[in-house]
Amino acid sequence: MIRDRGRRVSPLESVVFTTAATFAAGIFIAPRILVADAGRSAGIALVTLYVLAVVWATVLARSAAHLPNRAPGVTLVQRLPILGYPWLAAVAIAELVIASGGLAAYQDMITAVELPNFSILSVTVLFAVGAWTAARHRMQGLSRVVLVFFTFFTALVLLSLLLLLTRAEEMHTLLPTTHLSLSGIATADVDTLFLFSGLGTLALTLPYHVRSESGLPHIATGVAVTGALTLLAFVATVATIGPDFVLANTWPLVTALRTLVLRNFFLDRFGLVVVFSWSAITLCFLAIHVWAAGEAICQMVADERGRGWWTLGGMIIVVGVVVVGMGPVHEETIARSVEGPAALGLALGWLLVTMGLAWGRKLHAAPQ
Amino acid sequence: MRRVLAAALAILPLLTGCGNATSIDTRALVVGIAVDKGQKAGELRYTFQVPSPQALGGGGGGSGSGGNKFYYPTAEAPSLASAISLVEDRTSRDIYLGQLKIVLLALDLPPAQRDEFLREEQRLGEVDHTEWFAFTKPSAATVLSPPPNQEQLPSLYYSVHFNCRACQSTSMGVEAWKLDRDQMEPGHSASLPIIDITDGQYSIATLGTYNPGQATVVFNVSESAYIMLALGEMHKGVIEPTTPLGLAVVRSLGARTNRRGRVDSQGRVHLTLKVKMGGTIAEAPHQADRITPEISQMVSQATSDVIRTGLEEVVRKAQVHGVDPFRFGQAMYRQNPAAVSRLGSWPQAFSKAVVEVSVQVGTLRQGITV
Repeated sequence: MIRDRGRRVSPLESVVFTTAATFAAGIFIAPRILVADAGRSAGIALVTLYVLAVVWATVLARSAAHLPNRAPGVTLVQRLPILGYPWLAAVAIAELVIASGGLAAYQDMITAVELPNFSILSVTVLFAVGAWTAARHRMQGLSRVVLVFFTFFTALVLLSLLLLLTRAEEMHTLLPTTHLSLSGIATADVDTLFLFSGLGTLALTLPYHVRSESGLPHIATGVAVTGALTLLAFVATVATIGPDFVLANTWPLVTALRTLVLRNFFLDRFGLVVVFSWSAITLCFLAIHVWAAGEAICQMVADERGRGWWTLGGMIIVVGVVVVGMGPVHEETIARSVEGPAALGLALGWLLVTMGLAWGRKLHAAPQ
Repeated sequence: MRRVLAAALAILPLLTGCGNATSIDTRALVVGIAVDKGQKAGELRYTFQVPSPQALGGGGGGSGSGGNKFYYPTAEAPSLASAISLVEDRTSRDIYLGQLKIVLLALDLPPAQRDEFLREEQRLGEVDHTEWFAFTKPSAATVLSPPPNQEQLPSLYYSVHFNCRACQSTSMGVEAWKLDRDQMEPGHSASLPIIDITDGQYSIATLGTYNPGQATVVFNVSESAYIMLALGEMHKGVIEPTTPLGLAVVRSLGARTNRRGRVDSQGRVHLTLKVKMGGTIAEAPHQADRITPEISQMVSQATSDVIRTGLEEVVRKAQVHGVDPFRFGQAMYRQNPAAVSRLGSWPQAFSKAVVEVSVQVGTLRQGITV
């Protein structure tokens, strides 16, 4: 279905889109869980997690290169419809679950730092309309919106993290010890799998990326960028407020950003501005995952004409679930019980599907 | 599809959700809180400093008579949350702490209530934890109101005072988040500046140090200055050493300090404090004709001796009271958390610790040498 190169996105858009799909509100709570589980090996646990993610993305992209048009979803439906239809339906549902989880987690975080009695419903509805406006397009259109919004606000976050680092007093607590806690690292990695709630989405985007000239697939580069941003956020948080205080905070990164005061700057509470700017990043996350749910259905029915309606339906389900079903639920509950398992299921499922199809194609090609 | 999009955009103005929101004009933006002992046992008296709509609307820019621009709702209650609730019952506004600048605690607060207030304040979500904390010698409510001949509004005064490190001889300001963080780390006694009002003017030159559950130990002006010097927070201290040629005056240009600790095989703690200070000879010894390198060396040595003796005396006082305003425990914990955790109670370990102080003073600037 996606045959013309004109529909593909530029390398920069590929990388930014991948980063936006995988950079989520989970990093607000991740530092506490990492420090609680792995202690001084927390940094190693985080790096391990992202190295595995980059390896996953590389293997996925390399395997998909053997498939027609690098589209594992479409190929699965064509070759094994009995597996393809249920799998893509499950993917669509999982993407909506991840979008709902992301939105509910954002609501939870913003309610805690926002003015009391602030109408979070208005934000949710505005988010939904804004995200759907971007998500109803093909990836080419969506990736341009993401490029503009995500790049600007991520630059803002990056700047604030660098400002935090300038007054870091506890940098030495990040130095790994010689007593590596392997069980702690493993527990921390399992408990922070929610950081990869966007990873499975990347399999749906494979047909839209141009081939990378550097050899490293663009999605792997995007995941590496997410890893670097998350690691920087972790380092800035722990080095500023210290591991003991990190453990005492629900959202350590939010606490760290809220302590950022720029004297003599026209906006002295710069960190708080960044926390609110996170809305734009969440909006991109929401748009991408609702788009992904629509894309899964489009690949399933091999027809793109209904994309706008599929995504509209998906967005209505997400808002309905968040507003009516969940409301503001504690972010960690959502992350651990919903997003982590969904992330793991999608990542492993897509890897198995893609590698299996590539292996089957090689097997068929061998006798000839 | 375009019609659907147009319809969605058209209904956006109806979805602003203002129905259940609280607007800015119905909020009381608290900029300062004073906490004093209550009349009933177990209760504290809370005073909130709230700018009036006139002050929020501009005109004056923060200076002038504070009394006209602020109102001070008060409540006696067992907790901050109860006090807020009581004040909200008496006013037409929602009490909001997100713009808090200063929290003042009366020095005579019972330790248990002081600690309980600090814990409760930490948990309030709407506070950014960038507000300053201080003890007050007179009642906290008195210090929160501007004294008669003070030009600046209290919240602005404290904000500028604590923010401008170079403006003060010592930087004593403690932000809430640092106090919170320090209380999470073992091996730490919290120190807060004590605000006094003398001759109608604010005076912030002494420190109060406490361990959770224990009474606050007050250090006088000189002792507090030595503590701030040891913490590397003295910027413009004046030392008057007596040399063989008479009295000299040295003005500090800042100091670099290093605190380390170790536990020996018998479980005894050994602490070292190294201070390196640069200063200007403001006044040469009376019998010296001019400031020669030898005179400079003599003044430096005499200054080192004065500071070392002063620091040793303050360390002894701190050890007697079992408080650690020097943050030895914190420095040691950051180097070796396991060692400090094994010691159990840091105040007890600190009281018995062997402390070695070394001071090195260099006269960096001499100006004209006559």
